[in-house]
Amino acid sequence: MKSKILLIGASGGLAQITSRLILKHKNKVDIFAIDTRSEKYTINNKRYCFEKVAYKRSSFERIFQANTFDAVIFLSRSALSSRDSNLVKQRHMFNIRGTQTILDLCSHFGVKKIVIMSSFHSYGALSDNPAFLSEDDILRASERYPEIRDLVEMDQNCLNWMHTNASQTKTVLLRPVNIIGPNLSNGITKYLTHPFSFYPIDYNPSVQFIHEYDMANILVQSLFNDYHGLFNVAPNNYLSLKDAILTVNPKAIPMLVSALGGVNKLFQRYTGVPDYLVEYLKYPCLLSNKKFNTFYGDDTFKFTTKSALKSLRLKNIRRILQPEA
Amino acid sequence: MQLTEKLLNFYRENDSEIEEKMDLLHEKYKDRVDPWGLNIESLHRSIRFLLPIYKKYFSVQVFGEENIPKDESFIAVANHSGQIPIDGMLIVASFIMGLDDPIILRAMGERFIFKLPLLGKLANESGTVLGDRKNCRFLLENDESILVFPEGTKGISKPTHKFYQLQEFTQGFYRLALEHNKTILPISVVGAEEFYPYVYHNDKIAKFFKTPAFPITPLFPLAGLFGAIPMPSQVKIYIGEPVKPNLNLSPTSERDSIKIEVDKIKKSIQDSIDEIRAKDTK
Repeated sequence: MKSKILLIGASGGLAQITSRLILKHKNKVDIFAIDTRSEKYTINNKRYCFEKVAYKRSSFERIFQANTFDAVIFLSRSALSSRDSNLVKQRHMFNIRGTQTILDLCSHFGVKKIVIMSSFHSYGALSDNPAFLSEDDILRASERYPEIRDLVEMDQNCLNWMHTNASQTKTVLLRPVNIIGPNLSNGITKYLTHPFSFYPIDYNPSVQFIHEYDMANILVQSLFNDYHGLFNVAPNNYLSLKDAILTVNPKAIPMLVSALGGVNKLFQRYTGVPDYLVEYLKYPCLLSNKKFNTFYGDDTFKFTTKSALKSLRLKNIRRILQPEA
Repeated sequence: MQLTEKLLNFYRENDSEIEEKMDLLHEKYKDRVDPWGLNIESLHRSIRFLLPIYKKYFSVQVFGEENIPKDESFIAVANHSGQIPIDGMLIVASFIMGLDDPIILRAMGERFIFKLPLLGKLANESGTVLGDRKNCRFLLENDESILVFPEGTKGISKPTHKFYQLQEFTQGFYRLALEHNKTILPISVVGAEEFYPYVYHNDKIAKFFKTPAFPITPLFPLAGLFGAIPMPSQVKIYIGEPVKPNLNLSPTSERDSIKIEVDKIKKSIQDSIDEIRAKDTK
């Protein structure tokens, strides 16, 4: 039987890989992809349809009324990082209200499955974090970084929604650690691949990384398996931040974190590395993958941390997602 | 010049011993990436720096090595003293330099340390871990031995009139021992209180500097950082007989039942301290 998926946030690198994986391995699945941005690389497939939309209630209502979706993959999140009150408000509106609208519509139109991607950032990088935070640990990001409080709120709203609608909709809420890959342009990938990348000399927390392909694979598994619940997504291995940065850029420059914050502020327009990310270079935020491994198996990750990092060395040379001929 | 020569001679005499211990640790910890950042190279550097202080400045003496459990991990429980956590460093160093088969004791550190740039990193690289029950669980599950100070900051930051009077022990370590069926190894440290023989504590100043305590001595803060250098007091570390947790209790037993067992351990440490001090006085 044919099924239809709504993919929200379809222009991102991760969404593109996920779409291609679904189209390749699931013959009877159509994808309706939306984003506020234009499509970066066109996917030429009859079963794939992309539409650029404004994230407004009316746009979503129109889409839900015109289509019958069996599942929704929600990857969209505004990543504007600023303490500017207007931008914080804008991001808050987008992330909180936008998410709530989609969840309301899913519940109204009886969507059977939703996969939502949150982030490990919601736990917060704090000096007194124990190693290996589990799904039950408190989300403390807003204690220190008001600019990402919407992420915590969005995560919690999704969690509440998941429990309230458990009888009708199977929901998978994922909190992945740093996702990196040559096709992504998130903060950590930008930081690692910046030609003038720095590593802190006064802090050296352990960090976890997931390769973009592994994450896309996990999204597909979450969608087509009968999973329901909240999962930390983290590989079994981790390494020190210094080792990670030097793996990508052996010429990275050592610097005090206090100076790094200032330097980052100065060049933020060019680097695109958000302020709060600097805190994640100071303090640990390692996630436990016990629950994840129980459901998904411990052989889910095809890329080791080192090989995921090494793939970033290719970033400016070759991208996997070339426009199709 | 004389001091430099003395130091160089000391290193010449002790380098092979350090290398030997570090080779053993390298072998033990190879292929292991520690989530807190334990780094044998960095530990090596710390031990090299600490050894003259350990052997010459504090003339550390260790007794009761035969009580250390073989082939099993354990929870080492020690009294805390000396205003700054040098006692912890000396215990960790003694388990590396004083044993044929060196052990890296994972000391539980105060939260405040890990906020500090460089110091927090150095502490982590030398094996110190944030004192959190989750961290202890992870280490014990992975068969690592831990070092806890159940008196906490109350123990380390005692004013002069309370020297060598053990403070209330927290119960977390005993519950962990029950949960993981681990042996408890009581450790008594004598000599660290004399690092700063006269100490006064002011809670308001500590609060102002956002530190767990703020000791005031005749030289600190008057003489600046120089005044914070501890006196060269001889340190004696006594490793007591191992204690098996009372398996009639469970990790969730009532506070009063656990307290009876915890107090027994506290008493054994206090008795050893009193005994060593009495011998020293004689």
